[in-house]
Amino acid sequence: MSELVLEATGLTKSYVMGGRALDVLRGVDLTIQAGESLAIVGSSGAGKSTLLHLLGLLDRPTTGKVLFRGADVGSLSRTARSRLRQKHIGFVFQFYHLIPELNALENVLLPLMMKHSITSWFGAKAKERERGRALLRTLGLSEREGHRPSQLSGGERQRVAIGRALIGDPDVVLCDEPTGNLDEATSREISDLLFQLKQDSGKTFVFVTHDLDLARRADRVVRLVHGRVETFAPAS
Amino acid sequence: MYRLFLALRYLWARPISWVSMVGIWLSVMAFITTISIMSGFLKETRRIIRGTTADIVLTPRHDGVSRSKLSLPSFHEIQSALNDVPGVKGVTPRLVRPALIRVGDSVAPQILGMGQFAENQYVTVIGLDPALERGVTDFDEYLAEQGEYGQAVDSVTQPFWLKKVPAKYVNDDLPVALPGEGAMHFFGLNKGDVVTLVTLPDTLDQDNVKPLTQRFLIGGSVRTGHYQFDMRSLYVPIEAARKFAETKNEATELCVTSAVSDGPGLDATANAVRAKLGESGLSVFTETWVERNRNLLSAVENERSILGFILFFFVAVMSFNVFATLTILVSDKTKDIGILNTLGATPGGVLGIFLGGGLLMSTMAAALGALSGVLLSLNINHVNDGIEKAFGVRIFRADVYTFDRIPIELTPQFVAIAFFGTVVFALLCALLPAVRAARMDPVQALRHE
Repeated sequence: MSELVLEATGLTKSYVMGGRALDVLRGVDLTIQAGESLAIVGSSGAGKSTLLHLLGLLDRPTTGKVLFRGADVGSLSRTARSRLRQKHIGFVFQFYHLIPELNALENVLLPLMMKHSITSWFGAKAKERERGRALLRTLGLSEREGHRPSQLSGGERQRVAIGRALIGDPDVVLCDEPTGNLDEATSREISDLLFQLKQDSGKTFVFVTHDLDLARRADRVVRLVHGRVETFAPAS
Repeated sequence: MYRLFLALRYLWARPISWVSMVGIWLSVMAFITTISIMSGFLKETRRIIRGTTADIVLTPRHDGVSRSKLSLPSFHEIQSALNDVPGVKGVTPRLVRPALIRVGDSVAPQILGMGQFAENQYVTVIGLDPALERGVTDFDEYLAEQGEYGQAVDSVTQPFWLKKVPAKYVNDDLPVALPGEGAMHFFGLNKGDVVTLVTLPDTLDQDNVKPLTQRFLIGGSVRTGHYQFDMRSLYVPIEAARKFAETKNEATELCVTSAVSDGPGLDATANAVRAKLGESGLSVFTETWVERNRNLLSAVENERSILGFILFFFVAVMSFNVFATLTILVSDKTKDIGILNTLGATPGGVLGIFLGGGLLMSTMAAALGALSGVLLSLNINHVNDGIEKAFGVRIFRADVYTFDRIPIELTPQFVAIAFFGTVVFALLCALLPAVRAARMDPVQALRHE
């Protein structure tokens, strides 16, 4: 039996808006196995992104638990959760979220810089830059490494964002609508790339998506309905 | 590593951060230059006062004595009393007398009719004994040092001696006077000229207001470096001064030289002198040169403190630019803060980016400010000359102040205080926006539009 990477039990998340409580998640139970790809689908406002933020340790649930490799992360400090994220979790967002002041290579290298002190970075800089360049080559961006995000197309920006998520060799990659901002052809390209990378690396991928084509390619699909998870089998 | 890297990139890309840095740079430069000039003023004022006043001055005691009877005990009595006082190097008498001066060898009637211009004819006659002064005061140095308008005496060892007495006065046996360099220039005097001095006797009554006059030969000039002092002083032999003033007083003041001429050492010597003179029953008023000039020294020191205070606030206001710049930066970069959180940046890491930004801005600006402040201070006279040449405006005028060049006192300690003070203050200003960034909720930051 494969190892559980992430596990959510009884997750609820409520917000108070305009003086009224809004229950976004109403008791989510979910397990994610190491090496699997899981798609989470659902209508807008169903709580998909909220669930992803909780799984990615960016937010804390109102009630319930998130376990990472069997350990409850609820009691961890913000700093400890950040360190856990830095080491084990990568994110890909719908709007890429690249740093506009940095070029493609620098954006990709940012997670590696976080692991280094100033002195250790200067020792490892050449090696790490080569690692970043190799990844950009894999992503088909070898000619674009010196380009700023504003000089790249949507598909290229998303490739850079994928590179940034993978460079630190995380256990889990959480993708929030990775094709949501792309045209059909580019969406297909990005989906192909993500599944190719998943297959090559054997990492765990979680997709939050509206894109049923992308969802169909995942090992497992769940649907969020009224803040609860249902198993879902999209029609081919 | 990423903290410094991002801080540099964020600041580099924003013109407002450069504007803030220029503000800090200029304020630190102004702070250092102004305080250096004011410290120079203070130091130079002290040096000149110190040079023109003895370490300790003994004058007749006023209390309970009518002014007309004011007189010092005998010089030799005081000299022998102070012989074994620790710290006392020597004592010399001086007879100081105000007088009117007239260039030429007769007292013209217009002296009394000069009205408001009479003050321009006023000089202070200082009678002294060059042999007793030697090794006790700086009088020999004043003889040796001549400026643009000076005329050297014929003999430093015998300053009141003129080699070539003009034929017209050879038989007159006139005493020699040495005006200050400024007075020499102001009255248009040359060696060999004759001046007539007019003073009043020690005691005046309604029936006897007879002015006393005496002609003196000009034997050269004296330069203390104190502009106003050199404009008004005229040194003569003490015997000639006594004769001129028709006084029975040996001296009007006695100059005591202390082994330590400033600070607690000088105060200790002055106290020892007071005690010894008290024990010996000699009633004399004892003042150090600092006490004698307290008002002037305090005024300059006070001016420096006020300017320092104002400029400190100027630097503080400029440092607040760091606060404004970083507040705007944190607001602009809210989404980036969310992204960095997803990549694993800790709250401390985010704090480091923005605090690092403040540190970079303030360090670079304060370093530039310190460097340019030092360079400007060291070259302030060249700058002054250059401005005069280019625009015809002289910022520093020697005839307004008492110096011929802008004095500078630049200490590494002060430059270090200005530099580190600015950096620390700017860091405190950076702390608030940096803490705000560090405490930002990652999810809210990601959703920021």
